Amino acid sequence: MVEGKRGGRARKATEKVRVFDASTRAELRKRKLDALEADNWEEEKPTEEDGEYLEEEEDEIVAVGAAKRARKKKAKRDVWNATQKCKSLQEILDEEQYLRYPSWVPNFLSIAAAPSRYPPRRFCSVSGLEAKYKCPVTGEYLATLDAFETHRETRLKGLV
Amino acid sequence: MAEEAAKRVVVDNGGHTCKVGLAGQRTPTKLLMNGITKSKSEHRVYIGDQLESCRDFSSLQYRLSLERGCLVNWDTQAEVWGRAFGPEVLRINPTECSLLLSETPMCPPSIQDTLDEMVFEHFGFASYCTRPAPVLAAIAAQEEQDAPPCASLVLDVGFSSTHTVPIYGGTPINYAIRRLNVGGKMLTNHLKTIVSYRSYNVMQETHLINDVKERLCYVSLDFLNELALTRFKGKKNLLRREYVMPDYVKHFTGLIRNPNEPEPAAAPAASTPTPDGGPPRKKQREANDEQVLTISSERISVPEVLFHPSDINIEQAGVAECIVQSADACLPDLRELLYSNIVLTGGTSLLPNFEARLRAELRQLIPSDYSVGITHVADPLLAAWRGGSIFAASDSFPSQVVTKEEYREHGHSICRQRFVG
Repeated sequence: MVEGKRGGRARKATEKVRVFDASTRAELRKRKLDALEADNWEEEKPTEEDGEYLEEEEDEIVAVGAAKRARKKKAKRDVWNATQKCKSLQEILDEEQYLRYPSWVPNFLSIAAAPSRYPPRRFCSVSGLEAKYKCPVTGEYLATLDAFETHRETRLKGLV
Repeated sequence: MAEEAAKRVVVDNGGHTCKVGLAGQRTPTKLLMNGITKSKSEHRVYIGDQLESCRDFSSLQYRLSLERGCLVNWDTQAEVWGRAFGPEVLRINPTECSLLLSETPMCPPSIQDTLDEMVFEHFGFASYCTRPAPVLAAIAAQEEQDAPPCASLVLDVGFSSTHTVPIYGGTPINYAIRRLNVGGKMLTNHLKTIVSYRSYNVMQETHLINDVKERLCYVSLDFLNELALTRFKGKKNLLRREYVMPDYVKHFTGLIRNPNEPEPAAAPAASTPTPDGGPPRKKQREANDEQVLTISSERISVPEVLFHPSDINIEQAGVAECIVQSADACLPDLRELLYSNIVLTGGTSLLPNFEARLRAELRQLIPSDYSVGITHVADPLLAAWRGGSIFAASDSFPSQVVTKEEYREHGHSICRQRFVG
């Protein structure tokens, strides 16, 4: 009887925990890797101060407009427009449709190095030491109990 | 000849720095950051080398022209080149000049097409030519060697990625090129994420962390044992270093201190020399309220990603295995020659011990009857540019270019035909 009760409680506790399945873990790993490749550029949004500044110099707006028009004309005459060409690398690669090529044609995607022949090593995601244990929720490796505590307080917070 | 050579412009368009100069020179005229940066505190956007005038490197935002070695931000690139060719750097008139440009191996054709448009229609160069950067680096390496062999395997550890390119008789063997998606940028960003998780949030401080990487990281020759040392908190941890972050008021570069060293050695490095009888170092540090970043296992585990990308879940082989994959894709007769003539180039190869570690790893991987020969080119950062300078100054260069008239006549196809390899 007692055992059954305990089993129920344990089940309830594990129900609450959202264990990441393999695809979610892969997704998280991919997102982390993409973040390692990204620049930290943010486009500036026009702030309110800029608007006020423009209103103050209302008499100059005509001149500004004229200048803008002139610039537009000039841009039209210049056939090659750099900003129109900007695409992300992913878009470019999608458009190239590399998958339609036969496998022996070398291209940007096919020259990526193949996975290693050796099994991956495991390092603690908190301290960087060699890891023995694995977090049951996210699948990250951990070296010590202290590391797991840190892991639980930071990454697992809100998940469990 | 000299007059004509002066009109040949060489641009090594790297992921981080764009090296520009004229053919025949030994070193490029200028290194420009290949992108634009925005400083939050100074409310300014810096184009390329204007960054040199920046005083406050905290929270810099970067927008680089290249993504994984491929040109994607054309407007940024146009601005950087506009500056490079303009009155402040090279002072040239593109319509009279011939351009040699480096590119990433196996660059997608649509990018190359847009590049033709930019070179001929936007800048209006008289003629131009592209070559993969490792091929140019091989030329520079050949010049250093007394009896250059006909084949070499270039390992270019760059900013955006790492390439292994076997080269036979001056042309790359394109089916044997391998790319590892780890480069200096990935290492810096990886260091940034782990430091942010373990101590301070430095996610916006790319410039600072890059400095930490360049000055403190090294390739370990005995990784697992050295890593085990970082478990200790005290003096047993030989790797531990303290990096005093710059406050951009008194000092502008970080200071490195070794907490294991006795105090007198470390004292001169401290920012303010106190008169005798001053407070002990610990109190003094608190009084200065400087921010100290302690780095230990990160010093070796970050460069280790190059040799074991699987450590951070990149499903690719490390640099040594990439070399083996590359050589295995070539004809068996060529392998011995390739292994004995590996050319190491690229900025990230400047990490201490890189060559020794590569040699040790390769020895384990390749058959014992092959010898391993690695040449580390002098000044790996500029090797590709130097090779380009030699190539552009040679007499065969004019036959390799596509002129503006030819481009007008045949369009992109002639560029793709002529720039093979």
